[in-house]
Amino acid sequence: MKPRFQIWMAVIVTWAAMSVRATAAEPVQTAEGFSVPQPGMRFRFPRDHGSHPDFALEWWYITGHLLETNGVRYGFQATFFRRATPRTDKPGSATEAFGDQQLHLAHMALLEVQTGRFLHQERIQREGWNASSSVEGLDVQNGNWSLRMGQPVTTKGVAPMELRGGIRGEAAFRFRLEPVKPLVVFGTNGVSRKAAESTAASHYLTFSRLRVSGDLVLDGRSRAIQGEAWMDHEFSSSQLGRDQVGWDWASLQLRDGREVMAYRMRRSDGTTDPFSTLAWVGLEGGVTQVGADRFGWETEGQWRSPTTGAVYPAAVLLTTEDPADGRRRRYRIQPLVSAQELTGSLGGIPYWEGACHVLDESGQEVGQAFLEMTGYAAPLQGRL
Amino acid sequence: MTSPASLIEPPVLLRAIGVGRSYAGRVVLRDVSFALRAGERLALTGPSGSGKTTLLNCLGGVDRPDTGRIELGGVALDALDGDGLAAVRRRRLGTIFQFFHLLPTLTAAENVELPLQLNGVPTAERMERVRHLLERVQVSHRADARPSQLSGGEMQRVAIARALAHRPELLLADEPTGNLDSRNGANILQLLRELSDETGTALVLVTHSPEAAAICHRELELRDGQIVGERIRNTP
Amino acid sequence: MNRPSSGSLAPGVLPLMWRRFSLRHARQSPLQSVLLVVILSLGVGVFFAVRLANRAAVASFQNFTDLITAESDGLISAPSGMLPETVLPELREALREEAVQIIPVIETTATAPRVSENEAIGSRSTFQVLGIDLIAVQNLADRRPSNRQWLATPGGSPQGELSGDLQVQARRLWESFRDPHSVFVSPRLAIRQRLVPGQEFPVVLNERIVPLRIAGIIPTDPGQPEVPAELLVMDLPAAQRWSGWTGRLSRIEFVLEDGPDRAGRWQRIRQNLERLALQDPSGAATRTGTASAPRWLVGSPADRRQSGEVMTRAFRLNLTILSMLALVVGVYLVFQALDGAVVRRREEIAILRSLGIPPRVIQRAWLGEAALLGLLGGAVGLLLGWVGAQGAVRLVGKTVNALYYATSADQASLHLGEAFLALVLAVLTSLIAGWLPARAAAETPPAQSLGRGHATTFSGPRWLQRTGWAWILVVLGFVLLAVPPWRPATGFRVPIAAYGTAICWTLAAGVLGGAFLQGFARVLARPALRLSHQPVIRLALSVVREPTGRHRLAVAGLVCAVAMTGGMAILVGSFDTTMRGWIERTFQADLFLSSDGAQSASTENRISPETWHGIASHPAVARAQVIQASRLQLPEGETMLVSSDLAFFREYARPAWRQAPRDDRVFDPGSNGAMALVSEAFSERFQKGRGDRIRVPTPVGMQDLEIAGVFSDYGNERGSILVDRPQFVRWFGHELASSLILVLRPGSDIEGVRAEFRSRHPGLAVFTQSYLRSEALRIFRQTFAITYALELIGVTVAVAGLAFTLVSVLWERRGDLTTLRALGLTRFELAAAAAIEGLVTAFSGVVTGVVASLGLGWVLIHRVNQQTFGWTLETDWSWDQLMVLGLMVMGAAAVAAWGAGRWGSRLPAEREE
Repeated sequence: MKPRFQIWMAVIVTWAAMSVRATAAEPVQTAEGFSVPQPGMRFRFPRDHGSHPDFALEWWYITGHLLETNGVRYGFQATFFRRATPRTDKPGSATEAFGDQQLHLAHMALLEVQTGRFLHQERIQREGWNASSSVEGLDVQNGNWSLRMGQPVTTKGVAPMELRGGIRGEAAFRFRLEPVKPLVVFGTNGVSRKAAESTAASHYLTFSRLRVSGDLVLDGRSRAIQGEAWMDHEFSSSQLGRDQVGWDWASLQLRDGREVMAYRMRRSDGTTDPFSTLAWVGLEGGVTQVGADRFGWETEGQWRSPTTGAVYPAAVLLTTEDPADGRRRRYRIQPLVSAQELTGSLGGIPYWEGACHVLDESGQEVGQAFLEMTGYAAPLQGRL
Repeated sequence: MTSPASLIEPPVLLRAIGVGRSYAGRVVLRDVSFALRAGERLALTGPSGSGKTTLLNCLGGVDRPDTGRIELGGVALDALDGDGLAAVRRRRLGTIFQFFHLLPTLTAAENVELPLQLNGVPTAERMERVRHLLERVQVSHRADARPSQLSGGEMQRVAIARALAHRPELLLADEPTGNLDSRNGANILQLLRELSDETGTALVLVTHSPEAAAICHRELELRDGQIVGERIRNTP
Repeated sequence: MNRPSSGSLAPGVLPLMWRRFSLRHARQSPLQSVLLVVILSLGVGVFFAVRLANRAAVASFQNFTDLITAESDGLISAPSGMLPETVLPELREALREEAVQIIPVIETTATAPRVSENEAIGSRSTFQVLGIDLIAVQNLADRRPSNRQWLATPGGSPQGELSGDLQVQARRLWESFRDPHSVFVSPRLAIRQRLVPGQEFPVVLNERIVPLRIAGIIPTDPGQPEVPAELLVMDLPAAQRWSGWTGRLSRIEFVLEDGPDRAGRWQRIRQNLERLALQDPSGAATRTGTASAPRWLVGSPADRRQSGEVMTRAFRLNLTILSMLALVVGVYLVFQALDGAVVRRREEIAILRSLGIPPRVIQRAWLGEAALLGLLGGAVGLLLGWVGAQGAVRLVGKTVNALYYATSADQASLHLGEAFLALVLAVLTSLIAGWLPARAAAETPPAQSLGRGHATTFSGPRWLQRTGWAWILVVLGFVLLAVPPWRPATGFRVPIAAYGTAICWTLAAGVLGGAFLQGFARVLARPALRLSHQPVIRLALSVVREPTGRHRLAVAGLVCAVAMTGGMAILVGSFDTTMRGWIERTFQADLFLSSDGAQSASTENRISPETWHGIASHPAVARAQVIQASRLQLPEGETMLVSSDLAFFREYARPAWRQAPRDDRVFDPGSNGAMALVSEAFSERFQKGRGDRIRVPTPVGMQDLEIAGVFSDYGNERGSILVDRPQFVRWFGHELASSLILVLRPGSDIEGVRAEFRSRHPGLAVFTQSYLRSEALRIFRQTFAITYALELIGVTVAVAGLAFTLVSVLWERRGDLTTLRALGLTRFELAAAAAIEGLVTAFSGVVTGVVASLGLGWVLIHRVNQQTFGWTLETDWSWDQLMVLGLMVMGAAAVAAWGAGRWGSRLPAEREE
């Protein structure tokens, strides 16, 4: 029964990839009529913090590290997905309250570092009264989880956000997220390419450092929280190329005030796709971006998930050239806890997303990171 | 305390002292007193309505005298309640009726076995005793017959076996031959005498017949509820 | 002298007595033993069957959402009408701190389309259509894993490896999901009707035949409760669309996400919900100047499940009481039999006594025998009852369908608690019946005091011979009539005192029946002896002139059965007469229209305004009456709010008034804004009469209405409030009609107009006056089907009891029979004498029973029925039915007595002395 279900979920989550017209020129639309990211896109804020229903796929992805005032450490993830559903000819029975053009999924996770306790939950809703994403600004909701950007928005398109989330009735949080660095647009000319197919690309906006404050309720007790987070807002109509089976992604927040973002697109033959990318975000928000040939991504050890059986790397070694001094850096991205897998109870796609230390060659902790590893339980080929 | 006499004579088993009984103003028994020693056979004779059966019922604890008292083995029957009397009947008395009163649903053997079962005699011993008794009264060949399949003489033999099965101290018999022809009657009387001698069971026999009275050591004659005569036989 | 003078009985004497005596007797007279067991099992079986059927009917009323949510923590529903879906975002916002899933639900009913034009109403089963968000239910997968699979089988396409045509699959899946015709059916229905995904599945929903299509089978998990066959599940907006309730919800359920302190969290949410319910964000109540009514009521799935139980409580209680009729008559019978056995086994008991068994042991042995009999009868009864329940469940289901809610119960499952109850009842019945015989056995003297002629005549219980206290009972019955019903909960009445009256009178009639027999035989004897030299009649009369206790007992048993059955017949007859009158008055118009899906009392099917406007403006229609209705939850209980044109109601439904309006204001739309009429059942249930005020919660606030009058209504027992339709439209903001009543222009071709409407609206049922009248009567009569079955069994048991009596009496007189045979009577003559004896006895029972039945009938009509259902009935003494009943009993008795006589004449002669 379960595999069948996963196939179905794969179907609803992936149809878009298959529907892309295989044309040489950069298409404006997919065969289904969804938009393809176009170079030279001029973003307008606060509108472009909001939803882009012309695109098939969109997410607001927040990961972060938290400290309770007494020093207890947590990691958290709060992701809101939007998925357009296939357009069909016959009119449906959908109403405003119970729509059927968009699905809203959401994933939440909380890691209590001390105990290794990892809580996570997934949700799926249709657009309507219980889940929505505004096209005017950042205002997404999924049940009692929400992410909203407050007013007024500064000229740079930046304002504090409010995140409400939790895991079932076991944990609840309400955080204020305040950008401490300007918004970053990754990619070339506003488009972040993922594969040789020109449609496999996204608009990729990031707040690389957010100051987190607020309350976390866990085990019936409320705790005051401080911390730092990273937020991606990405929209596209296709994320993977035909030959790709998954990707690894990492965001590093270094103590020197800079950040590194890197992703590696993995091909079915085990090699790294040349469209993989690493980017440095400077102290003032300037981006320095390099291709697959200019950074190294090696893995170390293995961790086997008891739930899905997937085997994930136990640590990642990232080597690159520091644009500040031109010296070669070798960062070790070491998970705080091995078991940080989201098992894909509703999405059907298990993946590993977890809080990590960043260690330099001498083993000194030089920052904190979030690492994402997908496609280890089953190839994602044709799914995203 | 044992009296010197007891060294020679058996002890007194049953004692009636001034027993009187009347029904609806009609006096049936008047001041009847006598004693019966263990193993002794006593015949109660007299014409119909002289009070023989009433006296027998009082002795068996089925009826209660209005006046006087009856002691069985030193126990005053009037001091006992219904359950106490039932227990006395169950353990110490055996009864033989004119109409046999065998239980129609039970076989001959089961009829004999019943008192033993009531007294909780273990199965093996019970079986042995029933077998022995039926043999002794010469109806072992009819052990599995129902009462309706037995002749009158056979029925009374089974009834005697039943009355003696639990080794009572006292056997009460009400006209045991009254419903039998003379040959069968004589056989039954013979049997009663023998068994009484063999087991040392005392017997109170209510009868009209001189032949029956002849098997007893002593005969009391009743008339209008009173003892009017006593005869002692030396060789019953 | 060391033997104990007294001592305890050896252990195992009781079993010994049962083994050696009771059992052997049972084996020797197997017929009697079997008959007793059968009679007892019949009584127990009826009781058990009815209880199981009741249970099945109640169980079929369930909170269907529970099947999908695996039981919610709580729910809200509107006190009247539906909830607007606009409250959803409001609730989400108010509960944003709470990890709770908010699950909107719409529920309606549908039926299969009619197969023939002339089918009977209620002959098609009703589907429960549940509309629920099929995307969001996946979030409940941790409670019910199969919720992941609602959309897993699109169009039945085979699932395999991920293939290149994922895109095709995806599109097909979404096509199926979006298709408003998509419906999920239960596995049971799919098997029964061989349904496969993709297949057409038309149903009648409102005035339409909706061409639904099977999108899949309702996914199930092993170990979860079975999905009832009649459940259909649709995506919520599709269900809203077809039900006509766009933008509205039947209720909203709440499922807490897992976590600590569930109870505390629900408590908090509940308080929040209750607070919100009193807010008036739309300002409707303020605008209309009325007090605000709670927008919703907070409840639990348990409350909802219970409401089926609450609704039918009175009906089931009455049925249960009725089902004990056979058992009550059975008491007399078992008493007879056991007592006869005591007499027959007197000698045996006497010998046992002389062998030293104390009386209490004898008594215990006999009680044990009675208990064993009860146990056996009970066990067989359970079997019978379980089989009978499968039939009874349909009969009970039909009544529940017609009066309360749609039930699809077609199967009664075994219930251990009920089985235990039935068994206890069986043993108790036997013990009650065996008590006196056991005491009589214990009082048997030892054999020494038994004479030869030990077959003493049975004198029976002394109370049967004393008529004095019987008259006291009669008077007590009258006194109890003045006692009001017991009201353990509002809206639920139990006429305990009235039942008390019935018991008093039945008992008294039983005793007086014996006296009647004696008197009757004496009166009859003199002329009969003078007129006839027939030895047979002489003989028979000489016996009953001095009736034995056994005769008296047989009469009492017969009286009991005849009185109860006759009483029921009078009730049903009165009901029938009243209904016929009501139906004739009420159905005055020419055509009656409702959704063809309206097959039960709980139908949610409505006619859309577009449709009824079109019909009402048809040239042949002179006047049209629109009826709108809504379920209404008052604090005291659930009832119905109905609206129509009150002037039309008076003219064409010609209500019979319990309390007529004092003036015409209530019929005038200009002045009836705050007035209502209520049905008698409402008045009775809620204790409100003319001049009283009722507060009705509506979406636009609390309406304070004055009751202008009380009318008779035999349509439902929950009661209804009737208001003028403009008020209803103003309060509820819609014009969906429950039914439509048309008066055609004079000279119109009624059948022609009917055919035209039928062809234009195939989903509408269009009834003519005469058809509806006959259907209404048929449905009503059908609801009494089960009472007829129960009565029949009761009478059968009583007649069997009479036969039993005669057999016992003849056995006790077998000595006389021998003598009679020696005197030269033929067997035929002996049998005839017995038959006459039986007939005279039966006649006494019947006459007394019929007289008692008049009293019982009166109590049933004017107390039990009136107090339980709130229906006043015209009394119809149903003489014809009583006559038939009497003749039937006498006839059966004559046959039984003849048989007993034949048997008696062949008894072996007693052993000669």
